[in-house]
Amino acid sequence: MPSLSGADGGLGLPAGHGVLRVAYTHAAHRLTVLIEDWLIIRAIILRSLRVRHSGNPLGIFVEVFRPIVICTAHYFYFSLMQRNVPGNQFAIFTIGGFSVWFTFIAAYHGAFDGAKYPAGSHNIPGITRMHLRVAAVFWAFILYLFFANAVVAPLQIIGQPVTTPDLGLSIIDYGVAALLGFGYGLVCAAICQVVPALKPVVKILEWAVFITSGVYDSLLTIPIPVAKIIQYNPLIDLAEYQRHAYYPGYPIYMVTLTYPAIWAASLVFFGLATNRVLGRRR
Amino acid sequence: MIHLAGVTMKLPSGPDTTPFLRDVTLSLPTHLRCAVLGGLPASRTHFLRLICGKERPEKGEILTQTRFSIIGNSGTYFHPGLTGLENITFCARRYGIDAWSLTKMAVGFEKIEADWPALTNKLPVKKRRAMEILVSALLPYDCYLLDDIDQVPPAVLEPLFEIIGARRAGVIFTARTAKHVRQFGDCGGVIGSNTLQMFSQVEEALALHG
Repeated sequence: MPSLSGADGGLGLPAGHGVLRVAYTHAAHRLTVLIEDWLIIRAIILRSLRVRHSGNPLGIFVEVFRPIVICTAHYFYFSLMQRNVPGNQFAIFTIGGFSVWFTFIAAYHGAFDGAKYPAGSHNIPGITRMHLRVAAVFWAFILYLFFANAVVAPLQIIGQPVTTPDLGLSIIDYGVAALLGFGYGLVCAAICQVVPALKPVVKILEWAVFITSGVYDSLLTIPIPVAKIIQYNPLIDLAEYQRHAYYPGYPIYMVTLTYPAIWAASLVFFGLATNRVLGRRR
Repeated sequence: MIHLAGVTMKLPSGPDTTPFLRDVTLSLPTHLRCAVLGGLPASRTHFLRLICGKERPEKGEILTQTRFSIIGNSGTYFHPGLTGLENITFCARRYGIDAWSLTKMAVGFEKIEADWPALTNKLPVKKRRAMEILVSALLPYDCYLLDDIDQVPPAVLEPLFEIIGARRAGVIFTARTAKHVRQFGDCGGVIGSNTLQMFSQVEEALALHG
Protein backbone atom coordinates (compact mmCIF):
# COMPACT_ATOMS: atom_id res chain seq x y z
CA MET A 1 0.00 0.00 0.00
CA PRO A 2 1.72 3.23 -1.03
CA SER A 3 2.02 5.89 1.60
CA LEU A 4 0.66 9.34 0.93
CA SER A 5 3.59 10.84 2.75
CA GLY A 6 6.15 8.88 0.72
CA ALA A 7 8.65 10.40 -1.68
CA ASP A 8 6.41 9.51 -4.60
CA GLY A 9 3.44 11.31 -3.12
CA GLY A 10 1.61 8.05 -2.59
CA LEU A 11 1.33 7.26 -6.28
CA GLY A 12 3.50 4.15 -6.21
CA LEU A 13 5.86 5.48 -8.88
CA PRO A 14 9.58 4.71 -8.95
CA ALA A 15 11.87 7.32 -7.40
CA GLY A 16 13.12 10.07 -9.71
CA HIS A 17 10.01 10.25 -11.83
CA GLY A 18 9.04 13.79 -10.91
CA VAL A 19 7.78 14.73 -14.36
CA LEU A 20 5.71 11.57 -14.57
CA ARG A 21 4.25 12.29 -11.15
CA VAL A 22 3.25 15.81 -12.16
CA ALA A 23 1.71 14.50 -15.38
CA TYR A 24 -0.15 11.78 -13.50
CA THR A 25 -1.50 14.25 -10.93
CA HIS A 26 -2.49 16.67 -13.66
CA ALA A 27 -4.26 13.95 -15.66
CA ALA A 28 -6.07 12.71 -12.54
CA HIS A 29 -7.19 16.25 -11.76
CA ARG A 30 -8.44 16.81 -15.33
CA LEU A 31 -10.35 13.54 -15.17
CA THR A 32 -11.98 14.55 -11.88
CA VAL A 33 -13.01 17.90 -13.38
CA LEU A 34 -14.41 16.18 -16.49
CA ILE A 35 -16.42 13.73 -14.41
CA GLU A 36 -17.79 16.57 -12.30
CA ASP A 37 -18.72 18.56 -15.42
CA TRP A 38 -20.46 15.53 -16.85
CA LEU A 39 -22.46 15.05 -13.61
CA ILE A 40 -23.50 18.70 -13.68
CA ILE A 41 -24.54 18.64 -17.34
CA ARG A 42 -26.51 15.43 -16.85
CA ALA A 43 -28.27 16.86 -13.79
CA ILE A 44 -29.13 20.10 -15.64
CA ILE A 45 -30.51 18.25 -18.69
CA LEU A 46 -32.70 16.01 -16.55
CA ARG A 47 -33.93 18.91 -14.45
CA SER A 48 -34.77 21.12 -17.41
CA LEU A 49 -36.68 18.25 -19.04
CA ARG A 50 -38.59 17.72 -15.82
CA VAL A 51 -39.39 21.44 -15.56
CA ARG A 52 -40.52 21.70 -19.19
CA HIS A 53 -42.68 18.58 -19.31
CA SER A 54 -43.78 17.87 -15.74
CA GLY A 55 -47.43 18.79 -16.43
CA ASN A 56 -47.63 17.29 -19.90
CA PRO A 57 -49.29 13.89 -20.43
CA LEU A 58 -47.00 13.17 -23.40
CA GLY A 59 -43.96 13.96 -21.29
CA ILE A 60 -40.61 14.02 -23.03
CA PHE A 61 -42.11 12.91 -26.39
CA VAL A 62 -43.33 16.47 -26.88
CA GLU A 63 -39.71 17.24 -27.77
CA VAL A 64 -39.97 15.17 -30.98
CA PHE A 65 -43.56 16.14 -31.71
CA ARG A 66 -42.66 19.47 -33.35
CA PRO A 67 -39.96 18.04 -35.66
CA ILE A 68 -42.32 15.23 -36.68
CA VAL A 69 -45.07 17.70 -37.60
CA ILE A 70 -42.71 19.98 -39.53
CA CYS A 71 -41.03 17.09 -41.38
CA THR A 72 -44.40 15.52 -42.29
CA ALA A 73 -45.76 18.82 -43.62
CA HIS A 74 -42.62 19.40 -45.70
CA TYR A 75 -42.57 15.83 -46.97
CA PHE A 76 -46.06 16.27 -48.41
CA TYR A 77 -45.14 19.68 -49.77
CA PHE A 78 -42.02 18.35 -51.54
CA SER A 79 -43.74 15.24 -52.91
CA LEU A 80 -46.96 16.93 -54.01
CA MET A 81 -45.14 19.83 -55.63
CA GLN A 82 -42.70 17.33 -57.21
CA ARG A 83 -39.71 19.40 -56.11
CA ASN A 84 -36.45 18.65 -57.84
CA VAL A 85 -34.87 16.33 -55.28
CA PRO A 86 -31.92 14.00 -56.06
CA GLY A 87 -33.29 10.50 -56.69
CA ASN A 88 -36.79 11.65 -55.72
CA GLN A 89 -35.98 10.55 -52.16
CA PHE A 90 -38.42 12.96 -50.55
CA ALA A 91 -38.46 11.41 -47.07
CA ILE A 92 -34.67 11.25 -46.81
CA PHE A 93 -34.31 14.73 -48.25
CA THR A 94 -36.76 16.20 -45.72
CA ILE A 95 -35.56 14.41 -42.60
CA GLY A 96 -31.85 14.72 -43.42
CA GLY A 97 -32.12 18.46 -44.00
CA PHE A 98 -34.46 19.37 -41.18
CA SER A 99 -32.84 17.21 -38.47
CA VAL A 100 -29.49 18.93 -39.12
CA TRP A 101 -31.17 22.33 -39.07
CA PHE A 102 -33.02 21.52 -35.82
CA THR A 103 -29.77 20.40 -34.18
CA PHE A 104 -28.05 23.60 -35.24
CA ILE A 105 -30.85 25.95 -34.21
CA ALA A 106 -31.46 24.22 -30.85
CA ALA A 107 -27.74 24.40 -30.09
CA TYR A 108 -27.68 28.04 -31.23
CA HIS A 109 -30.55 28.98 -28.90
CA GLY A 110 -28.94 26.95 -26.10
CA ALA A 111 -25.72 28.93 -26.43
CA PHE A 112 -27.44 32.25 -27.10
CA ASP A 113 -30.00 32.28 -24.31
CA GLY A 114 -29.64 28.93 -22.51
CA ALA A 115 -28.20 30.74 -19.51
CA LYS A 116 -30.81 33.50 -19.37
CA TYR A 117 -33.21 31.70 -17.04
CA PRO A 118 -31.06 29.52 -14.79
CA ALA A 119 -33.78 29.20 -12.10
CA GLY A 120 -31.23 29.17 -9.32
CA SER A 121 -29.13 26.31 -10.62
CA HIS A 122 -26.16 28.56 -11.44
CA ASN A 123 -26.02 29.53 -7.76
CA ILE A 124 -25.20 25.97 -6.75
CA PRO A 125 -21.45 25.59 -6.18
CA GLY A 126 -19.64 24.40 -9.28
CA ILE A 127 -22.47 25.16 -11.70
CA THR A 128 -21.78 27.99 -14.11
CA ARG A 129 -23.82 29.57 -16.89
CA MET A 130 -21.57 27.82 -19.37
CA HIS A 131 -22.73 24.48 -17.94
CA LEU A 132 -26.31 25.52 -18.72
CA ARG A 133 -25.34 26.40 -22.28
CA VAL A 134 -23.40 23.19 -22.84
CA ALA A 135 -26.27 21.15 -21.37
CA ALA A 136 -28.69 22.70 -23.88
CA VAL A 137 -26.29 21.99 -26.76
CA PHE A 138 -25.65 18.42 -25.64
CA TRP A 139 -29.38 17.78 -25.35
CA ALA A 140 -29.92 19.12 -28.90
CA PHE A 141 -27.28 16.69 -30.18
CA ILE A 142 -28.72 13.67 -28.32
CA LEU A 143 -32.34 14.50 -29.18
CA TYR A 144 -31.90 14.90 -32.93
CA LEU A 145 -29.50 11.98 -33.21
CA PHE A 146 -32.22 9.91 -31.56
CA PHE A 147 -34.89 11.47 -33.78
CA ALA A 148 -32.94 10.72 -36.97
CA ASN A 149 -32.66 7.05 -36.02
CA ALA A 150 -36.12 6.66 -34.51
CA VAL A 151 -38.01 7.89 -37.59
CA VAL A 152 -36.59 5.09 -39.74
CA ALA A 153 -38.88 2.32 -38.43
CA PRO A 154 -42.20 4.20 -38.95
CA LEU A 155 -41.06 5.27 -42.44
CA GLN A 156 -40.21 1.68 -43.35
CA ILE A 157 -43.63 0.56 -42.09
CA ILE A 158 -45.40 2.98 -44.45
CA GLY A 159 -43.26 1.72 -47.32
CA GLN A 160 -40.64 4.43 -47.69
CA PRO A 161 -37.27 3.27 -49.09
CA VAL A 162 -35.33 4.36 -45.99
CA THR A 163 -32.49 2.44 -44.38
CA THR A 164 -31.01 2.86 -40.90
CA PRO A 165 -28.55 5.75 -41.18
CA ASP A 166 -24.81 5.25 -40.91
CA LEU A 167 -24.41 5.84 -37.18
CA GLY A 168 -20.78 6.99 -37.28
CA LEU A 169 -21.47 9.53 -40.00
CA SER A 170 -24.64 10.68 -38.22
CA ILE A 171 -22.76 11.24 -34.96
CA ILE A 172 -20.12 13.32 -36.77
CA ASP A 173 -22.82 15.19 -38.68
CA TYR A 174 -24.99 16.13 -35.70
CA GLY A 175 -21.91 16.73 -33.55
CA VAL A 176 -20.56 19.27 -36.01
CA ALA A 177 -24.03 20.84 -36.40
CA ALA A 178 -24.32 21.16 -32.59
CA LEU A 179 -20.84 22.69 -32.33
CA LEU A 180 -21.62 25.10 -35.17
CA GLY A 181 -24.77 26.19 -33.35
CA PHE A 182 -22.90 26.48 -30.06
CA GLY A 183 -20.09 28.60 -31.51
CA TYR A 184 -22.45 30.75 -33.56
CA GLY A 185 -24.70 31.27 -30.52
CA LEU A 186 -21.78 32.33 -28.34
CA VAL A 187 -20.52 34.77 -30.97
CA CYS A 188 -24.01 36.25 -31.49
CA ALA A 189 -24.53 36.53 -27.72
CA ALA A 190 -21.23 38.39 -27.42
CA ILE A 191 -22.12 40.71 -30.31
CA CYS A 192 -25.53 41.48 -28.78
CA GLN A 193 -23.94 42.10 -25.40
CA VAL A 194 -21.44 44.59 -26.80
CA VAL A 195 -23.85 46.26 -29.26
CA PRO A 196 -27.49 45.59 -28.21
CA ALA A 197 -28.73 47.49 -31.28
CA LEU A 198 -27.52 44.60 -33.46
CA LYS A 199 -30.14 42.16 -32.10
CA PRO A 200 -32.47 42.60 -35.13
CA VAL A 201 -29.53 42.00 -37.48
CA VAL A 202 -28.75 38.75 -35.66
CA LYS A 203 -32.40 37.72 -36.08
CA ILE A 204 -32.29 38.44 -39.82
CA LEU A 205 -29.04 36.48 -40.12
CA GLU A 206 -30.73 33.52 -38.41
CA TRP A 207 -33.41 33.60 -41.13
CA ALA A 208 -30.78 33.88 -43.89
CA VAL A 209 -28.89 30.90 -42.46
CA PHE A 210 -32.14 28.90 -42.46
CA ILE A 211 -33.02 29.71 -46.08
CA THR A 212 -29.54 28.73 -47.29
CA SER A 213 -29.11 25.70 -45.01
CA GLY A 214 -30.16 23.17 -47.60
CA VAL A 215 -33.49 22.18 -46.07
CA TYR A 216 -35.32 23.24 -49.25
CA ASP A 217 -32.63 22.71 -51.85
CA SER A 218 -29.72 20.53 -52.79
CA LEU A 219 -26.59 21.99 -54.36
CA LEU A 220 -27.13 19.62 -57.28
CA THR A 221 -30.60 20.77 -58.20
CA ILE A 222 -30.41 24.55 -58.02
CA PRO A 223 -29.04 26.99 -60.62
CA ILE A 224 -25.27 27.31 -60.48
CA PRO A 225 -25.23 31.06 -59.57
CA VAL A 226 -27.43 30.31 -56.54
CA ALA A 227 -25.40 27.24 -55.63
CA LYS A 228 -22.24 29.36 -55.72
CA ILE A 229 -23.73 31.56 -53.01
CA ILE A 230 -25.34 29.04 -50.71
CA GLN A 231 -22.39 26.65 -50.80
CA TYR A 232 -20.76 29.02 -48.28
CA ASN A 233 -23.30 27.97 -45.66
CA PRO A 234 -21.65 25.06 -43.82
CA LEU A 235 -25.04 23.61 -42.89
CA ILE A 236 -25.75 22.58 -46.48
CA ASP A 237 -22.71 20.28 -46.39
CA LEU A 238 -24.01 18.67 -43.19
CA ALA A 239 -27.54 18.29 -44.58
CA GLU A 240 -26.23 16.59 -47.74
CA TYR A 241 -24.00 14.28 -45.71
CA GLN A 242 -26.88 13.31 -43.45
CA ARG A 243 -28.98 12.44 -46.51
CA HIS A 244 -26.04 10.38 -47.70
CA ALA A 245 -25.93 8.67 -44.29
CA TYR A 246 -29.55 7.56 -44.85
CA TYR A 247 -29.05 6.51 -48.45
CA PRO A 248 -25.51 5.65 -49.58
CA GLY A 249 -26.48 6.42 -53.18
CA TYR A 250 -27.22 10.07 -52.41
CA PRO A 251 -24.67 12.22 -54.28
CA ILE A 252 -22.22 14.20 -52.13
CA TYR A 253 -19.52 15.14 -54.62
CA MET A 254 -20.00 18.89 -54.20
CA VAL A 255 -19.80 18.95 -50.38
CA THR A 256 -17.27 18.13 -47.69
CA LEU A 257 -17.27 17.64 -43.92
CA THR A 258 -14.00 19.52 -43.46
CA TYR A 259 -15.52 22.89 -44.33
CA PRO A 260 -18.25 22.84 -41.61
CA ALA A 261 -15.78 21.30 -39.14
CA ILE A 262 -13.38 24.23 -39.65
CA TRP A 263 -16.25 26.68 -39.25
CA ALA A 264 -17.38 24.90 -36.06
CA ALA A 265 -13.89 24.86 -34.52
CA SER A 266 -13.31 28.53 -35.37
CA LEU A 267 -16.68 29.70 -34.08
CA VAL A 268 -16.37 27.70 -30.84
CA PHE A 269 -12.87 29.03 -30.23
CA PHE A 270 -13.84 32.63 -30.99
CA GLY A 271 -17.11 32.33 -29.03
CA LEU A 272 -15.43 30.91 -25.92
CA ALA A 273 -12.68 33.53 -26.09
CA THR A 274 -15.12 36.45 -26.36
CA ASN A 275 -17.29 34.92 -23.64
CA ARG A 276 -14.28 34.79 -21.33
CA VAL A 277 -13.19 38.35 -22.10
CA LEU A 278 -16.74 39.73 -21.66
CA GLY A 279 -17.21 37.68 -18.49
CA ARG A 280 -14.11 39.32 -17.00
CA ARG A 281 -15.25 42.77 -18.05
CA ARG A 282 -18.67 42.20 -16.43
CA MET B 1 -9.39 30.74 5.53
CA ILE B 2 -10.60 33.19 2.96
CA HIS B 3 -8.41 36.16 2.17
CA LEU B 4 -9.76 39.47 0.89
CA ALA B 5 -7.02 41.58 -0.69
CA GLY B 6 -7.91 45.22 -1.34
CA VAL B 7 -11.53 44.34 -2.06
CA THR B 8 -13.99 47.04 -3.10
CA MET B 9 -17.60 46.00 -3.57
CA LYS B 10 -20.89 47.78 -4.13
CA LEU B 11 -24.44 46.62 -4.60
CA PRO B 12 -25.34 46.07 -8.25
CA SER B 13 -28.55 48.09 -8.01
CA GLY B 14 -30.74 49.98 -5.56
CA PRO B 15 -30.65 53.43 -4.01
CA ASP B 16 -27.25 52.97 -2.34
CA THR B 17 -24.60 52.70 -5.03
CA THR B 18 -21.65 53.67 -2.84
CA PRO B 19 -19.35 50.72 -2.06
CA PHE B 20 -20.20 48.93 1.16
CA LEU B 21 -16.63 47.61 1.20
CA ARG B 22 -13.77 49.84 0.11
CA ASP B 23 -10.22 48.53 -0.18
CA VAL B 24 -10.76 45.89 2.51
CA THR B 25 -7.88 43.53 3.28
CA LEU B 26 -8.48 40.80 5.85
CA SER B 27 -8.62 37.06 6.42
CA LEU B 28 -11.85 35.40 7.45
CA PRO B 29 -11.83 32.06 9.30
CA THR B 30 -13.78 29.39 7.45
CA HIS B 31 -13.41 26.69 10.12
CA LEU B 32 -15.29 28.65 12.83
CA ARG B 33 -18.86 29.88 13.25
CA CYS B 34 -18.56 33.41 12.08
CA ALA B 35 -21.40 35.93 12.32
CA VAL B 36 -21.62 38.92 10.00
CA LEU B 37 -23.63 41.90 11.21
CA GLY B 38 -24.36 45.44 10.11
CA GLY B 39 -24.91 47.10 6.77
CA LEU B 40 -28.00 46.71 4.62
CA PRO B 41 -29.55 43.23 4.36
CA ALA B 42 -28.71 43.26 0.64
CA SER B 43 -25.07 44.09 1.32
CA ARG B 44 -24.78 41.18 3.77
CA THR B 45 -26.25 38.82 1.16
CA HIS B 46 -23.95 40.29 -1.45
CA PHE B 47 -20.99 39.75 0.85
CA LEU B 48 -21.85 36.04 1.08
CA ARG B 49 -22.15 35.85 -2.72
CA LEU B 50 -18.79 37.56 -2.96
CA ILE B 51 -16.94 35.11 -0.75
CA CYS B 52 -18.42 32.04 -2.39
CA GLY B 53 -17.32 33.33 -5.79
CA LYS B 54 -20.74 34.04 -7.29
CA GLU B 55 -19.93 37.75 -7.50
CA ARG B 56 -16.71 39.43 -8.46
CA PRO B 57 -15.33 42.40 -6.53
CA GLU B 58 -15.16 45.76 -8.25
CA LYS B 59 -11.52 45.84 -7.25
CA GLY B 60 -9.15 43.52 -5.46
CA GLU B 61 -8.83 39.76 -5.16
CA ILE B 62 -10.39 37.00 -3.11
CA LEU B 63 -8.18 34.02 -2.40
CA THR B 64 -9.39 30.76 -0.96
CA GLN B 65 -9.19 26.99 -1.29
CA THR B 66 -12.37 26.51 0.74
CA ARG B 67 -15.35 24.72 -0.77
CA PHE B 68 -18.39 26.78 0.14
CA SER B 69 -21.94 25.51 0.28
CA ILE B 70 -24.92 27.20 -1.34
CA ILE B 71 -26.13 30.29 0.50
CA GLY B 72 -28.76 28.80 2.79
CA ASN B 73 -32.06 30.64 3.26
CA SER B 74 -31.74 32.61 0.04
CA GLY B 75 -34.61 30.63 -1.44
CA THR B 76 -33.15 30.55 -4.93
CA TYR B 77 -31.77 27.04 -5.29
CA PHE B 78 -34.78 24.77 -5.36
CA HIS B 79 -36.86 25.22 -8.48
CA PRO B 80 -40.36 26.37 -7.43
CA GLY B 81 -41.91 24.43 -10.33
CA LEU B 82 -40.53 21.12 -9.10
CA THR B 83 -41.48 18.98 -6.14
CA GLY B 84 -39.26 18.61 -3.10
CA LEU B 85 -38.16 15.15 -4.22
CA GLU B 86 -37.27 16.35 -7.71
CA ASN B 87 -35.19 19.18 -6.29
CA ILE B 88 -33.36 16.84 -3.93
CA THR B 89 -32.73 14.46 -6.84
CA PHE B 90 -31.17 17.32 -8.82
CA CYS B 91 -28.79 18.11 -5.93
CA ALA B 92 -27.89 14.42 -5.61
CA ARG B 93 -27.24 14.08 -9.35
CA ARG B 94 -25.07 17.18 -9.35
CA TYR B 95 -22.73 15.50 -6.84
CA GLY B 96 -23.08 12.02 -8.31
CA ILE B 97 -24.58 10.59 -5.14
CA ASP B 98 -27.58 8.38 -4.64
CA ALA B 99 -30.75 10.50 -4.70
CA TRP B 100 -32.64 7.96 -2.58
CA SER B 101 -30.07 8.10 0.25
CA LEU B 102 -29.99 11.90 0.22
CA THR B 103 -33.79 12.06 0.34
CA LYS B 104 -33.93 9.58 3.21
CA MET B 105 -31.41 11.64 5.15
CA ALA B 106 -33.25 14.89 4.38
CA VAL B 107 -36.57 13.58 5.64
CA GLY B 108 -34.87 11.89 8.58
CA PHE B 109 -35.08 15.03 10.67
CA GLU B 110 -38.20 14.57 12.74
CA LYS B 111 -38.33 18.17 13.86
CA ILE B 112 -38.66 19.50 10.31
CA GLU B 113 -41.93 17.72 9.60
CA ALA B 114 -40.71 17.11 6.06
CA ASP B 115 -43.07 14.23 5.55
CA TRP B 116 -43.15 12.22 2.32
CA PRO B 117 -46.50 13.52 1.04
CA ALA B 118 -45.23 17.09 1.37
CA LEU B 119 -42.06 16.28 -0.54
CA THR B 120 -43.95 14.80 -3.46
CA ASN B 121 -45.66 18.16 -4.00
CA LYS B 122 -44.34 21.58 -4.85
CA LEU B 123 -43.13 22.99 -1.55
CA PRO B 124 -44.35 26.29 -0.14
CA VAL B 125 -41.65 28.95 0.15
CA LYS B 126 -40.92 28.41 3.85
CA LYS B 127 -40.57 24.66 3.56
CA ARG B 128 -38.55 24.99 0.39
CA ARG B 129 -36.07 27.23 2.15
CA ALA B 130 -35.84 24.88 5.13
CA MET B 131 -35.27 21.92 2.85
CA GLU B 132 -32.61 23.84 0.89
CA ILE B 133 -30.70 24.48 4.10
CA LEU B 134 -30.91 20.88 5.25
CA VAL B 135 -29.97 19.37 1.92
CA SER B 136 -26.96 21.67 1.68
CA ALA B 137 -25.95 20.63 5.21
CA LEU B 138 -25.99 16.99 4.11
CA LEU B 139 -23.58 17.66 1.26
CA PRO B 140 -19.84 17.81 1.99
CA TYR B 141 -18.46 21.35 2.09
CA ASP B 142 -15.68 22.97 4.11
CA CYS B 143 -17.73 25.98 5.06
CA TYR B 144 -21.49 26.57 5.08
CA LEU B 145 -23.10 29.90 4.29
CA LEU B 146 -26.36 31.00 5.82
CA ASP B 147 -28.14 34.25 5.07
CA ASP B 148 -30.36 36.06 7.58
CA ILE B 149 -30.27 33.44 10.32
CA ASP B 150 -33.08 35.24 12.20
CA GLN B 151 -35.54 34.13 9.53
CA VAL B 152 -34.63 30.44 9.82
CA PRO B 153 -36.96 28.38 12.03
CA PRO B 154 -35.24 27.09 15.22
CA ALA B 155 -36.27 23.56 14.27
CA VAL B 156 -33.99 23.84 11.24
CA LEU B 157 -31.14 25.64 12.95
CA GLU B 158 -30.61 22.98 15.64
CA PRO B 159 -30.07 20.00 13.31
CA LEU B 160 -28.10 22.23 10.93
CA PHE B 161 -25.52 23.24 13.50
CA GLU B 162 -25.50 19.67 14.85
CA ILE B 163 -24.51 18.28 11.45
CA ILE B 164 -21.98 21.02 10.76
CA GLY B 165 -20.46 20.58 14.21
CA ALA B 166 -20.13 16.84 13.70
CA ARG B 167 -18.42 17.48 10.37
CA ARG B 168 -16.07 20.04 11.98
CA ALA B 169 -16.86 22.46 9.18
CA GLY B 170 -17.20 26.20 9.53
CA VAL B 171 -20.22 28.46 9.10
CA ILE B 172 -20.45 32.05 7.99
CA PHE B 173 -23.87 33.47 8.69
CA THR B 174 -25.44 36.89 8.54
CA ALA B 175 -27.70 38.14 11.31
CA ARG B 176 -29.67 41.20 12.29
CA THR B 177 -30.18 40.57 16.00
CA ALA B 178 -27.95 39.49 18.87
CA LYS B 179 -29.89 36.36 19.85
CA HIS B 180 -28.58 33.92 17.25
CA VAL B 181 -25.16 35.54 17.13
CA ARG B 182 -24.69 34.77 20.83
CA GLN B 183 -26.20 31.30 20.47
CA PHE B 184 -24.25 30.08 17.45
CA GLY B 185 -21.31 32.44 16.80
CA ASP B 186 -17.65 31.89 17.73
CA CYS B 187 -16.46 35.14 16.21
CA GLY B 188 -18.07 38.10 14.51
CA GLY B 189 -17.65 40.79 11.90
CA VAL B 190 -19.46 44.06 11.38
CA ILE B 191 -20.02 45.73 8.02
CA GLY B 192 -20.06 49.52 8.31
CA SER B 193 -18.25 52.67 7.23
CA ASN B 194 -17.18 50.95 3.98
CA THR B 195 -15.28 48.25 5.80
CA LEU B 196 -15.64 44.91 7.57
CA GLN B 197 -14.25 44.75 11.08
CA MET B 198 -13.56 41.30 12.50
CA PHE B 199 -13.61 40.37 16.21
CA SER B 200 -12.52 37.15 17.88
CA GLN B 201 -15.39 37.51 20.40
CA VAL B 202 -18.98 37.96 19.31
CA GLU B 203 -19.65 40.31 22.22
CA GLU B 204 -17.13 42.78 20.80
CA ALA B 205 -18.85 42.63 17.44
CA LEU B 206 -22.24 43.10 19.08
CA ALA B 207 -20.94 46.06 21.07
CA LEU B 208 -19.80 47.77 17.86
CA HIS B 209 -23.01 46.86 16.08
CA GLY B 210 -25.03 48.33 18.93
